[in-house]
Amino acid sequence: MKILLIEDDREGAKFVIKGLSQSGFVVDHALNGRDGLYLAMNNNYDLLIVDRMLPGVDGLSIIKMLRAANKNMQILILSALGNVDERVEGLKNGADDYLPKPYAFSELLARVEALLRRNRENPTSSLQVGDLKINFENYSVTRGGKKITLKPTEFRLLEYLMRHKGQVVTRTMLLENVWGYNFDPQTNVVDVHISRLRSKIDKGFGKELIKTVRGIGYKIEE
Amino acid sequence: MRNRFKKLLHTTAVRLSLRYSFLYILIFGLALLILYWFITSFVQEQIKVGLTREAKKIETIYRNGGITAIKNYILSHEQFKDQDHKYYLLVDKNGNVLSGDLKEWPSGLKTNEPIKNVWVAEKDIIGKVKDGDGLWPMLAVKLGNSKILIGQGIRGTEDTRETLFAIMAVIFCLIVIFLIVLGLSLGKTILRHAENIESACSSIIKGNISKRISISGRNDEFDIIAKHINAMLDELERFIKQSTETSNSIAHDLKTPLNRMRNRIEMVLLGKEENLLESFEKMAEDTDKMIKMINSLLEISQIETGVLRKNWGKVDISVLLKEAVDFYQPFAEEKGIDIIVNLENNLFVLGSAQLLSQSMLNILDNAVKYTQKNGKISVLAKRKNDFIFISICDNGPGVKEEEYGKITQKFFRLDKSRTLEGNGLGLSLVKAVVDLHKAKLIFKDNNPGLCVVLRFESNYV
Repeated sequence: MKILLIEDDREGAKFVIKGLSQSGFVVDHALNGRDGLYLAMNNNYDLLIVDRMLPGVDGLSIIKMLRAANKNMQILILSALGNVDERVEGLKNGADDYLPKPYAFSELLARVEALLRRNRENPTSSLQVGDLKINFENYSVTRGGKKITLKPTEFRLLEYLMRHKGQVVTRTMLLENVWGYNFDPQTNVVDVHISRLRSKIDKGFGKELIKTVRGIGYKIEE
Repeated sequence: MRNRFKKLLHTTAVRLSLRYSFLYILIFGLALLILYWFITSFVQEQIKVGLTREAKKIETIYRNGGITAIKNYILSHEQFKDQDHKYYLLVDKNGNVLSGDLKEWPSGLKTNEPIKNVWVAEKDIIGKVKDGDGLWPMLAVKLGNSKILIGQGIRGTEDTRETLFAIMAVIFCLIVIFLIVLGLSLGKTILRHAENIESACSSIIKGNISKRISISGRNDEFDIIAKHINAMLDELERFIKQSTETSNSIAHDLKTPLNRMRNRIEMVLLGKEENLLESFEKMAEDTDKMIKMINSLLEISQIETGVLRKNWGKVDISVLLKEAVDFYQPFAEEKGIDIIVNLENNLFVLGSAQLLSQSMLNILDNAVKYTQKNGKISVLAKRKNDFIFISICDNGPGVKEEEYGKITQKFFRLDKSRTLEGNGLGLSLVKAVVDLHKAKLIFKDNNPGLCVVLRFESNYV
């Protein structure tokens, strides 16, 4: 998987490149917008991580030009401009995800993995982790053949976890994708929702599928 | 003293009044000159008419009584000379004086000519001198072989002219003095007011922010300016106090987790920490808390500056509220709290769905946190008249009425809530969002508990 990072902050970039390389990605780096645009136009990257405020050409312009040239790699914006409007602006202009600075590297990694997964994602009629199964034909959830009744929110939560099977998803990602909230609530209510979901799909089934990743989030795997 | 006078001269009032005095003096002087000219030419005209009539009268006397009658007329006129200042001279064809007041016929004066101004010296006059050197209007008339001149002594008119001129000069001077005095006293009044404001301001500049401008109570324009400046200073002082408090709170709220982290790191470095993973997890939590607090602060100040109004849309707040309640439901259930929901449908407002959701979540968060186990929260949304009301009421310990104003301040936390999780920014954000949406945030006593009411103007029907 090839990633292009366009970021003018050398220290920040070094940190991201190191982290992503250790996770098995190949990372190219451009220090300004013009070089970044040139690299992105002339190579096939799977993912572009781009800062918004860049010397030369700014991040949004790069995205617009790439989309206009039918480049359809995944694009994640990393930016200090993090309010709702700026986020909407970024997504409207063709970005796939938006991560405001400051961010935790784990958050970035989780989002990168989720975006790259999206590429390979096929519309499926069912999802499965171990003996836990979602059937989208009748929206039913079963574990080991036993039917589990979930509330709509719990269903969406489980679906998101299962679509990112084996990947860490952060609380922020869950808030954004399950509830559509682009902010952190005062209390970590997500944890309560997870524990509810656990009590329905894990309790009494022996093996725990939903795992807590310390200080980062959750993942579902066998 | 000299300085003050210099300052006085520089006041707008003095400068303006001097400038206008000058203009006024010019105009008034011109007017006086014109008046003077009118009066003198009127007098000249009167003299001419008088001389012409006199000539006619003399011709008539001559026709009726000859030279003798004229001589008698001149003699009889002697006693009126003091009043009408008229002079006569009758000469025969050889130029010998027959009767009259002058010693000889002035050269250059001819009969049957229009009135002419002739120089008459004192020495030319016979008898008591009343009308000295000057240009006299004269008219000469031929009477048979003789001729007579009628002259108008001008001492009288000259006197009138001088008096008139003197009166005008005095009035003129009085007006100039009056204008200057008026200007100076106006300037002094203004200067006094200005110095009052100036001294208060310089005291404020020196750091005495509580200083205010004294108000005379006359309610004049200076009082109005002073009141405005004072109100501005009140607001400024409040703002400074508030931002000092805010930065103190930030410092305090950062210091606590930072200290904790520092201690944890020390334990790890000293090799005393057995569970490294747990220690790091705790540190991650602390940093998250700090980042969250700073993000919240930045967000609130962004909302307060009102830059977020673009990308607004039609939002159904009853849907947002329902989602918010669903989000908090499991949390409430864990505490055994019942949430009673009563929502009307289709309550549309113009706004930001994200910010409105966040506000409702913050209010619900407080409600759940402060309500005791097995408590009750009621959530209501309805339209009434032109307003949409959202109310979230709990039956927790409530808030004292005098603290309603404080709970929306940044970092303000009720004493009883210090032990609970939270950063004291929740309601500040709600307040900022509500203000941004031109809505109203109202607190009410729920006997017991607190009711938080949001009142929106309904933009969509």
